[in-house]
Amino acid sequence: MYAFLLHLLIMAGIYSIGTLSLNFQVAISSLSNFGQAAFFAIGAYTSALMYMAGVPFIVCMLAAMAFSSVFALIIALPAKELKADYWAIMSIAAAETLRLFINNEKWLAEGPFGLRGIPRPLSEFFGSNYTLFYVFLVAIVLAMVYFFLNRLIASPFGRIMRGIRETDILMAAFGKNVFRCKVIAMVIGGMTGALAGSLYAHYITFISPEHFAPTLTFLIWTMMIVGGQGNITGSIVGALVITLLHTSTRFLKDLFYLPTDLIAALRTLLIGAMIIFFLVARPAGLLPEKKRTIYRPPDGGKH
Amino acid sequence: MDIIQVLFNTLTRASELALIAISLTMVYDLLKFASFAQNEFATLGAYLTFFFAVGLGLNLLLAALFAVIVTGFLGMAADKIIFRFLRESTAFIRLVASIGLALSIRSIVHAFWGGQIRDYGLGIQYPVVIFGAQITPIRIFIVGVAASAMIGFHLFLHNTTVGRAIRATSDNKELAEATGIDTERVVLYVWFLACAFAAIGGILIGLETQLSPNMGVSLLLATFCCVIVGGIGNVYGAMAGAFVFAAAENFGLALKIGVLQFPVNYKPALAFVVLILTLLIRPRGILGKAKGD
Amino acid sequence: MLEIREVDKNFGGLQALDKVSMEVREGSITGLIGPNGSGKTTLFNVATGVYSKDGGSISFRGESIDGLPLHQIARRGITRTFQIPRVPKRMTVIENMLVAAGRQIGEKPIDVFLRWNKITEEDRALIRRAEELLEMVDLLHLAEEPAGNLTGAQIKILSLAQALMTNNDLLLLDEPTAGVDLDMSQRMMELMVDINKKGKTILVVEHDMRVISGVCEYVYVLDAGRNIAEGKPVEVQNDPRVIEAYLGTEEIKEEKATN
Repeated sequence: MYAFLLHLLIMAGIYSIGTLSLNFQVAISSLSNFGQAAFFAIGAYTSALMYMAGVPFIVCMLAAMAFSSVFALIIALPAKELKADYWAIMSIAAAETLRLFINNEKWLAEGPFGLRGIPRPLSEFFGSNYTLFYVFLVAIVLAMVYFFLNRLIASPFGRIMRGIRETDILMAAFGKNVFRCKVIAMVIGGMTGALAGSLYAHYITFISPEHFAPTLTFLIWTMMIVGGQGNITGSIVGALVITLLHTSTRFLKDLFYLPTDLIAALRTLLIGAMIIFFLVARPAGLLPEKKRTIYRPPDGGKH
Repeated sequence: MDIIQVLFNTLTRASELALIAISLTMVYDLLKFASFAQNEFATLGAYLTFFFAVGLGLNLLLAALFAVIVTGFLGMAADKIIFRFLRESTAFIRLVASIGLALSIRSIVHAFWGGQIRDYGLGIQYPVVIFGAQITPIRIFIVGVAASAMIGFHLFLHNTTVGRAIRATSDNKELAEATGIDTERVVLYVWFLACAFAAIGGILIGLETQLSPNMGVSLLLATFCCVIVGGIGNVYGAMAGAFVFAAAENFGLALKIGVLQFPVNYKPALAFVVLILTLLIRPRGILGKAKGD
Repeated sequence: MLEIREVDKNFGGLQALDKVSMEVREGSITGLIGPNGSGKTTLFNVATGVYSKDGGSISFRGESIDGLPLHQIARRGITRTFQIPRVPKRMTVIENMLVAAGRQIGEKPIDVFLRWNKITEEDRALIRRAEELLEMVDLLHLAEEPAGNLTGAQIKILSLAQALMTNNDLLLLDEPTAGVDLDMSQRMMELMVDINKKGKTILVVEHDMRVISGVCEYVYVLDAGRNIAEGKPVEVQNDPRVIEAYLGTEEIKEEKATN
């Protein structure tokens, strides 16, 4: 049970990072990205391949963020021309094309067989306590991403992004370069998403193109919707709730002797049903976006 | 390259894709959102046919007919349970809800019939040779069914009261309401028709190849591509788009320029390439309406 | 200050603007009037880079601003408002004000981390300025209210306050009194005169003659995409072509009303 709890915390933490990243893109910056799994994939593959080649872990993570931001930049470019739903379809297509590329180019990362035995950083120091260490590692990265995004959303940049999501033309009339802002937001989303992928690869130690199918994107979307769009604390709650439900399905196997195949189907059904239930019954999610009150100087701003 | 063969392959592929694309475009035209669930309704139709034919032992044609009708009603149910509550939401929320629906349908199919590959038990199809092209009779049947479905649909839209109500509602909902059309009812008709069309598409794919829970979703990008190429929201555009896309796929893969050839293992990416080209060159699609926003 | 020379605009064969020219002198309140559909808003959109134009040239402070997009024109010093005000309704009134301020340090994400102290300092100054402006337009008591809770008229006032927050010298106001009651319209006129006295140049689109004659010193009249008259409000009001243009549409309106 202790081991399961640690596993749950790690997975929830990793998904939280991915969900925070998506929440920032979708709910704050109105970029309905359906290619979030691609950021995970780039993060995971870059980090795994470089670490296996002997590069220090921290450099691997930075490289993962760099590669992912390049991909983010590429898919952000047509956002200027396309309507939101067209762009959403384009983003899923781009992510699938990337997955196809990893699958076909076997020289890069073993194609469909995936990378096995990805080494865990610092495992020689922690030995049997490694999982506990990983909980802290994930927690630290999550805290950094949370702090980073929280501050960003409250900053003038965040204000502009929240303005753009409701009326982009007004923001342009105030001299804000809407397109540039969107590209930057996407790149930030890509970098944070890659961190989640990197942590995922070194924890699970096996990655293949199958891991980064659109189902992963939809799973993260569910976490975001359940948690509350626009509320980044909600993203962590959503990730925790859905990860708990998602990983707990494994107990059904032992309890009711259900076949693995059926468990997989039930997991997907869970995601689908959660999306529908929340959108219909509680569209704002568990923690709705809060009104932001501005800090007032003690003198009330009057002289 | 054998032109006749490639042309016929194109026609078969276009037939299958067009029906699902029409389904997608019908929902888009009336409810103004891109539904990710239509491909899953195709899967569902194919599996229901399998259930009626192989499970209950009905005649295959009869089984298909039942499956199409049942899928249509399930589409209406989806509107009653989900989309009715999202009329005032943004189109994007409906799109996300349709993803939820798609995942639900796919997993239910998976839970009921398992992940293994199924077929209708037609046995091996022996091709006949027509103008040097190898053509199986079932594929002629597929093209025939798709063509009649499309012609039937055209006649339905233009010559029946319900058809005219659908067209009026999709043109201008307020105006249609003002002239006494019950638009909520029209929405239900459209869900029925759209899902029934998707089911026919799914059954045709099942006839030509096999059934698997992923048969619909694997065509997701291709279907979207057909719709966008043809001009989203336009039924005839969806047909044209399906043909263009199928041609790009078949001719693209058959084409050899010197040593240059489109790598076969990148075939799924072709949808992406066509999509990007369309969006860059003519975002409205071939027959896109020039609607001002 | 703003010079528009023989500007053309075509919408699929329809000539929306036909060699329209006008000039806004620095420090003035200039009016632009014309019946509905005469091309006033189109001219605004062309002048601020929302639409591209098919001919002519536009310059601001002697420099050409042809072909610049909306946000760059805004950075050069022109702020426009919209006929139907579009404010982010989920943001509070004060946030609406802050977001309007031009060129803030915290607009670059990197500076959010490297220069956070500078940003809070700047924000404090901006808040103070926003509060002054809100006080001036009587919206300060609603500062922490989401803009979505405001009435239509309050939103109009808020967009004017936002325009002032940009600190640009030229304001293009698109029908600031449309859809507000008489009192509010009077208040809006006073505000315009007030702002003008504080050094802002204003170009205002209106079709309410009363507003124009109340605040403008010079007026241009458009009809069917063409300049038909210009001059002081009193001269223009008595111009037979203007009367004809206005009466023509009035008659049509009456016809529509009786049908």
